This record gives sequence, C-alpha cells and structure tokens, in this order.
Amino acid sequence: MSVNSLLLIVYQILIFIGLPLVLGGIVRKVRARTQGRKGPKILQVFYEIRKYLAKEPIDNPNSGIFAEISPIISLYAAIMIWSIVIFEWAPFILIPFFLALYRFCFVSFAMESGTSFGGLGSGREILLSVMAEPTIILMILVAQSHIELSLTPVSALIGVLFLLLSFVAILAELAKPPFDDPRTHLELTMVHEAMILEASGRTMGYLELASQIKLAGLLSFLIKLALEHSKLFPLGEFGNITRELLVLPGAVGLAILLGFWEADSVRRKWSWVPEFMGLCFLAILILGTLVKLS
Amino acid sequence: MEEGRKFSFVSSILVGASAFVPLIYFLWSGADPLGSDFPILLGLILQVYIGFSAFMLVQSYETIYTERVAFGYAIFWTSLGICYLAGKTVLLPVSLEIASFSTIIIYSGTEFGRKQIESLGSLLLASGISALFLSAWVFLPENDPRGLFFLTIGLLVKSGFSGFHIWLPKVNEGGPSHALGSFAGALEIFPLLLFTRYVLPNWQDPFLYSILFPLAALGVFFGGITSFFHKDPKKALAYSSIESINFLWLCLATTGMFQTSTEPELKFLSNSFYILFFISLLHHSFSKTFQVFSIGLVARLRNSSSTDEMKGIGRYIGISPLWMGIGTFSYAVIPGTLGFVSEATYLFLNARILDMPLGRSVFLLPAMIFIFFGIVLGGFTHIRLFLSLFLSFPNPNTALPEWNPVKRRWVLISVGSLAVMILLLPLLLPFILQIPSLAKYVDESLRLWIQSLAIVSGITVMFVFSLVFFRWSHKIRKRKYWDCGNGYLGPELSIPATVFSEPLRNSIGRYFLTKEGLSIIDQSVLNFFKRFLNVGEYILKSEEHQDEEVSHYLAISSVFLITILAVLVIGDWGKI
Repeated sequence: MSVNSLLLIVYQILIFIGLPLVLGGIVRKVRARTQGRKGPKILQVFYEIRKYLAKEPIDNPNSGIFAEISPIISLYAAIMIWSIVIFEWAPFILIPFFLALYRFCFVSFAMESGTSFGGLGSGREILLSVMAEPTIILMILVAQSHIELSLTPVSALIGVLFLLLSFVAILAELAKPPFDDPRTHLELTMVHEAMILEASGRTMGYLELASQIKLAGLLSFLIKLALEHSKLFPLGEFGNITRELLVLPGAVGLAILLGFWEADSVRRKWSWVPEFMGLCFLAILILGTLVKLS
Repeated sequence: MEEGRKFSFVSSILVGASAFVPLIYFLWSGADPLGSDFPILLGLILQVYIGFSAFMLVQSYETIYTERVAFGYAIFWTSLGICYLAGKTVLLPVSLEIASFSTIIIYSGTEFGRKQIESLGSLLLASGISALFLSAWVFLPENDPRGLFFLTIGLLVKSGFSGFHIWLPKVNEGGPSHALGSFAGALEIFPLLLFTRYVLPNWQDPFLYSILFPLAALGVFFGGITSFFHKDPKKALAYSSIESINFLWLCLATTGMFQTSTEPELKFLSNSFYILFFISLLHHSFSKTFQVFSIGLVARLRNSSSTDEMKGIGRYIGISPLWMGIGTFSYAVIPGTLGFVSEATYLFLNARILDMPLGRSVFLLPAMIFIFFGIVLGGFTHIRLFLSLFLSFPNPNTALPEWNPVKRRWVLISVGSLAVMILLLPLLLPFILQIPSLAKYVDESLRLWIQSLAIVSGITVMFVFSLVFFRWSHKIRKRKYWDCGNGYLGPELSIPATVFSEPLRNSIGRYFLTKEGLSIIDQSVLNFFKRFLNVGEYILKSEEHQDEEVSHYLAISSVFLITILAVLVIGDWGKI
C-alpha cells in the first residue's frame, strides 16, 4: 500500500467520524446568519445529541418492540449508508435499501405510539417516499454505472440539470423545504419532527444522530455523483485522490447552500408535492437518457 | 376431543403425503432434477413447504370442518403434483381441473355468499379456459409450433398475466386465507415453472418474448398502483400478486428475448434475468403467502373487507408485530430479506443495462424505470397495510371471541415457517446458485453480487436479532403519556390504511380506481364481456314474432352447424 493510499484512508476515516457532527451545525449557522442572527455553535448539534444520549428514554404506554429497537436500527442504517458513500465497500445500489430500512424505523416508531402526530407524520413520510424513491433509484443507477460526461457545454448543462433534480430528490428525502420545514414547530405542518415528537432521552439521541449521519451521507453522495461521472479529473491515482479529497469541501459547500435554501424558502402545500415530484421523476428520466446519449 | 385430535393427526398425514408423494415419485422416476427438470423440482419442493404452512393455518382457521378441508387439500396437492409430473399428456388438463374443483371442498366452513361463489366461479373459469389451451398443446404433435403457442396462452391465463388477470382479484375477494396463500405460493407459480420447463428452451424466436415484455411491464405498473389504492386488503394483495407475477414474466421475457444472442452483454442479461426469475419466484412464493396468511387472518377476525375497519386488530392476536411483519419487511425491501435480494439484483442488472451500448440501453432503461414505479408502490401497499393493521392502536372495546391461545400457536407455526425461509434463503442463495442447472447461468460478477448481498443480509439480521434479545442500551423502563395528543389516549387518533394512500389519490389513484375502490381497467373489461354476452339477449328482445321462435332457433343452429362442418371439411381438404 502506497503512502498516498494510506493518507487517503486516514482522511476518509476523519471525514467519516467528523463530518456528520458538523454538517447539521453548518446548515443551522448559515441559516441564522442569513436571517441576521448569530446562531448556535457549529458543534451545537453534537452537544445536543450527547445530552440526549446521557438521559434515560421515556416512552408512550402504547409503544412496544418497535419503539425500543427502531432508534438503534435507524442509526445502523444511517451508518451503513454513510460508510458505503465514504469507503465504497459495497456498490451504491445498496443505498436505497438502507434508506428504506431507515424510513421504516422512523415510521414504525411513530405509528406504534398511536398518537395523532405520529400517524400524521408517518402518512406524510410515506407520501414523500413514494414520490421520491423512484427518482432516487434512478439517480443511484447513474451513480453505479460507468457513464462519464464529456466536457462539452451541452453535456455540462445536462449534467448540471441532472444534479439539480437529484438535489431536489435529496431535499425530499432529508425532509427539507419545500417538502418539510423543521423550523416551524407547528405540529400540523411537520413531517420528520412530527414522527419523533414522542421521542425523549436516548431515543431522541439515536434518532437525531441517525438524521445527521444521513444528511452527511446524502450530501456527500451527491458530490461523489458529480465528481465520479465527469471527465474533469485525469485517469489514475492522482485523479482518484483529487476526487476523494474534494468530497469534504463539496459536502461543506452543499451544507452552506442548504443553509441559504432553508433560510429563504418555505414549505409548500401538500397537494403540490405529488405533482412536483412526478414532474421531477419524468425530468430526471429524460435527463438520464440524455446523459447516456451525450 | 381426543378422537378429534387423532383424526386431525390422520388428516395431517394425509395432506403431508399428498404433497410429498409427487416429489418422491419425481425423484425416483429417472427425471433430471438438477438439470433440465429443475423447475419441476422447485415447484414440487415449494408445494410441500407451502402445503405444510397452509395446513398449520387450517388448524387455527377451521375448527368444525377441519377433516373436510384436509381432504380437499389432499386432492389439491396430489392433483397439482400430477400437473408438474404429467408433461405432455392428457393428465395435465385433467389434473388441473381436479385441483381447481377440489377448492370447493377446501372452501368448506366459509359462509357462502356472493363473494365466495364469485371467488370459486372465477377460479374454475380461469382453470377451465387454461385447461382448454393446455389440451390443445397435449393433442398437437410434438414439433408443432402451434402447440407451444397454445401452451403459452394457457399458462398466461392461469398465472394471471397482464390482460388475463381479471379472475385473480375476484378469487381473493371471497376465499379463505389458507386457500389464498396456497394459490399465491404454489398454484400461481406453477404455470411459470411449466413455461420455464417446456416453452423457454424450445421457443428460441424472440418475437414471442418481445410481445410478452411490454405487456408484463404494464402489468407490473398497473398491479402496483392499483394495489396501493385498494381498500379491500385481500384484493390489494391480489393486485400485488399481479404485480409480482408480471415481474416474473418480465424476467422470463428478458431471458427468452436474448437467449440466442451471441453478444456477451445480452447473453449476460439473459442468463442473469433467468437467475433473478428464480430468486423473485422464491420471494413471491414465501413472502406473498406470509402476507396473505397474516393479513387474511386479521380480516377474518374482524370479519370485514375494509382496511379502515381493521386498524390495530393485529395488536390483539398476541404475536409480536415484529414477527407478523416479516412478510412486509420483505416487500419493503429491507436488507436481510428475500425481497431485498430480489430487488437489489434487479437494480444491479439495471445498472448493467445502463452500461450497455447506446441503442439497447436507451430502449430498455425507460421501461425498466417505469417498472420500478409499480414495484415501489406495490411495496408500499404492504407497508401501509402493516402499519395500520398491526401498529395502529385499536379500539379497546373490540372483542375477538373466536381467538384463543391454541389458534395463536398454530398461526405462529404457520407464519413462522414462512418467516424462516424469508430470512434464511438470502444467506443460502450463494450455495443454492451452485446447483449445476443454475451455476451455468451465473456470471462471476453476479456470483460476487449475490455473495455480498448474503453478507449484508447476514450482518443486518444478526444485528436486529441481537437488538431484539438484548436491547443494548435502549431498554425503555419508564412509560407515560405526554401532553402532545391533547388528552386522547390512542384509539381515537390511530391511523387507518387509507391515510397513506388517499393523499396520492388525486395525483395517481383516480386514473386507476373508481371512487368505490374498483379497478377502472378491470371494470371496463368486465363490462365489455358483459355487453358481448348480452348480445343474444338483445337479439331475443328485438324479436317480435313469438310464434316463429322455434323455427328461428332451428335456423340459427343449422347455420352454425353447417359452418362448423364446412370448416372441418375445408380443413381436411387442406391436408389432402
């Protein structure tokens, strides 16, 4: 093993441990600054998770086995997604399946408690997933293939549009505006927050940690999708290392963009979501075909 | 009571023997079980396993007519076994008809109403039509291509292929769960295995497969969407079956389309879809039977055909929802289950299609992607049913007088036997694929892929089991109500299954289902047939001269008779 490869592995391990702890904080910080506030510390998300994990969980008397095992399984699913993205120990094709596991954990946790908000959030989560999943699958298929975009203006435009729509699908998966708005704390408009409204202590800690890892995983995945399928980098070890090194700044850049996006956008009404996601699916299908043709 | 138990034991032996004997006969008959006859071997093994699970459910489901139902099953499994063994003999259509008619005995104990009669009628009609085409194959000479054509049509009808599927939801609507599970796990897959054994190796022309491919794709799309929006859980499962069965036909069509190709990529695709067919067949057989058993049980306990009236009933049966949800986990493609291996392999092959030369991938990929939409919605059908039936909070005043611990034990054995296969087969697949009849189709990349899926499945299942048994650091010791819920304690707020599907109704559902929840396409086809069959009535109504009725009928009959004779005579002239 060469020194470069060794350094790359160390770099990847550092990203693997560190990035999920700061990305959520960066989003919050940028959002606050954009709105003219100072905002919390970048590591505030990490401090909150640490505080939650130290507390005993309390749950609804109606809950059972799913309330006990779902939070840790969702964390397991998020770690699997994150490790596949960073170390590529398995094909990207496995990502949608761990996303399915992650989603099922949240929805079953919410449903088992039998509260109105849990059910409401679960219903909306299923709606978002039904519409976002085909788009995400298509995105992952392109990521898994050996397609490489040439550097012509037309190819670049198609590639950028493809990434833009992929970003929209990721927003739906991450429960961000315009599909969900975690800031409102109005229960009737929430999706993700409504599902975990019953969570407390360690339960909340695991679920929150899983969310942060998933955020890091999907943003980094989008960066890898862009870097690995363009001919921007030369073939060989230098090109590979450059691509890997750019994952960190790329993910941080996307988190900053997400912060701006959250600050300046609002959640749209529900009847709009299926139409918009259907349109996204068709557009990404056409763009996927064009990516192949270009 | 003791006498009843003895007789039940005899019944078990009778049913077990009827399912087993065809398999033993097959193994001793000099067939080639690990070669060309592998599909037959698989079908016979599956019928033994599904037969066991179904009979365990009968013990819970049917207390008064257990012996009669057992007798029905003995005839059913023997006849279905003969269907596999008969080959190109007259025994095939005859035993298929006997298997179908035996369901009348299997339905014993079910209160016969309109739905039950329609269920039996639809099953017998589909079998009858199928048997006619199978007879045509049997009586035509060995090398006559029309024989294979008739065989294909007969098998398409019997499996519920797109366009021939209308009987399947009707059957599911009124049948008992144990019978419907047996149909899903054994009867519906029998035509596919027969096609794999007799048509696929002998019909090399891609033309047939290029017709089957788009129709199967439409079936997946239509089945998935219709099942997601259907309010009757048994019919929703039937449409989900249509989606799965058409996906299996799609695999066979892709296999057949490229089986003679000399290009390595297309040959790889053909071989890999052949393997995917077997994986998905196992998934359908075990997971769908599991779902029909578990969801059918809830429907029976509630005695309702509306999902919204069944919310939370699964909590009353005293079996962990984690155990009752294994079929759902498989359809939700959660790692560690058979469904995961099937769908992940399908994605893997799609990624390979994307890497293929330009023309072919541009043609195949959009079709494959739209199929995803059907598969995704089909998967969410099971999720929404499970969430509502097993996790929602039930009305505390609901009483289930029929339910008791003995019945619970039988259900646990029945669904448990299926759950074991759903979780175990992903780990065993790398070894199963070493069987000579399969190994020759397994490319090195596919072998490595299945191996990695087995490893991922093993890790996930072990992790979840360790968590279930030890809870690690997440044992909840303190429980109390929060204030979020405004003082309501559960049943008033629990979520019915339509909550998940109704928001999408305006966007997608309204194009496929009526407001009453009926499939628009199926209703249109049924209405067409109804009008067609009413033509005679229309002619009679328009007839004004009542006195001449007899002579008119005689004249019409004579014309038909002369026409048939003329066709026969002309046919004979053709031979001369």
